[in-house]
Amino acid sequence: MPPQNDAELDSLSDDALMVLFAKGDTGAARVLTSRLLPRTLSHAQRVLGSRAEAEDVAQEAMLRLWRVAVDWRSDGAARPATWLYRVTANLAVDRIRARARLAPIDDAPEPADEGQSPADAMDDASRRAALDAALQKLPERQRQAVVLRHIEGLANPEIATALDISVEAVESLTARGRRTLADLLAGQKEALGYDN
Amino acid sequence: MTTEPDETELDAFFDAARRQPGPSDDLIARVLADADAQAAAPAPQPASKPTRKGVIDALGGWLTITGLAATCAAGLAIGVALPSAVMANSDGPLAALLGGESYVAGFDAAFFIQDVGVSE
Repeated sequence: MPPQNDAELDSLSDDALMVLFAKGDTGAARVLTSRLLPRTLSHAQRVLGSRAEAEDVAQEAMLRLWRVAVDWRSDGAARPATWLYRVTANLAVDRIRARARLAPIDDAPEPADEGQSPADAMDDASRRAALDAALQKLPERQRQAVVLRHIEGLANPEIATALDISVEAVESLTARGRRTLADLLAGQKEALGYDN
Repeated sequence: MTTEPDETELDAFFDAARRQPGPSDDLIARVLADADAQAAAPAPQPASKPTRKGVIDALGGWLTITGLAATCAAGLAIGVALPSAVMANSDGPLAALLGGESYVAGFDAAFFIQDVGVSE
C-alpha cells in the first residue's frame, strides 16, 4: 500500500494508523505522534511532577508503541490511546520507585504557550505548579486515577483498563483523590491570583 | 463532619493543567526519529511451524524411517511373542534360525547351567 498524504491519514483511526505504520508508512507515525504524544506527556507530567522526567517517559512510551505496531490488531480490544496510558502509568510508577535510588535531576522548564498573554501564562503555570505539588502528596494510584479522570478526561471504564483495576476501584480512588486535593488546595485562590 | 470539596476551585486547577503547553519540537523530533528507526528495522520473521517434510528430513528421509519402523516392529514382536521359546524351547523358531540347535545350547550360559546341576 503506498504511503498516504497527511489529510487522508488524519481521517483514519488510531488503529488503522498503527497498521499503516507497521507497513512502513512513517506519515502514520507523524499523525499518531500529533494525536497521542501531548496527552502522554501531560499524563506523565502530572503523575511525575517533573517536565524532564515526563519527556523521558513519554518518549519511551511512544517507542514502545512503535515496537508493538507490527503485532497490533486493528480489531483488538485495546485502543492505542488506552494502551499508551497503561504503559505511561507503569513507566511513571517505575520512575517514582527509582527516585529513591537516583540523584535528583534538573527539571526542564515548561515551554511558553504562545496563545496566552504572559500574565495568563504565569497564572496557569502557578496553578499547575500548585496542582502538581498537591498531586505528589496523593498515593500513587489515587494520583493516576485523578489525572486520567479529571485532566485527561477518560471515562471510568477506560481508566479501569489503563490501570488494570475495577471500575468501582476507579470511582473510589477518584472520589478520595479529589477530596484530598480540595483540602490541599483550599485557600490557595488568593495566593494564586484568581477571584472566581 | 466532612464538607464537599469546592469543585469549582478544583476545576480551575484542572483547567490550567489541560492548558499545559504541548510537547517541545525537540521531543517531537526524538519521537519521530524513534519511529523512523523502528520502521527501517527489519521486521522480525515469524517462527515457522514444523512441517511434515521438515520432520521427515530431520529423521533422515523416508528410507531411514521405513527401516527404523521395521526394526522397531520386529523387536517388539520378538519381545512379545518369543521370550519363553528363546529361553526354553529348542524347537522354537529362533532355534530353527540358528540351525536346529537350542538357543541356550549355543551359549556359555548352557554350560553354566550344566555345571551347577540344573536339569531341564
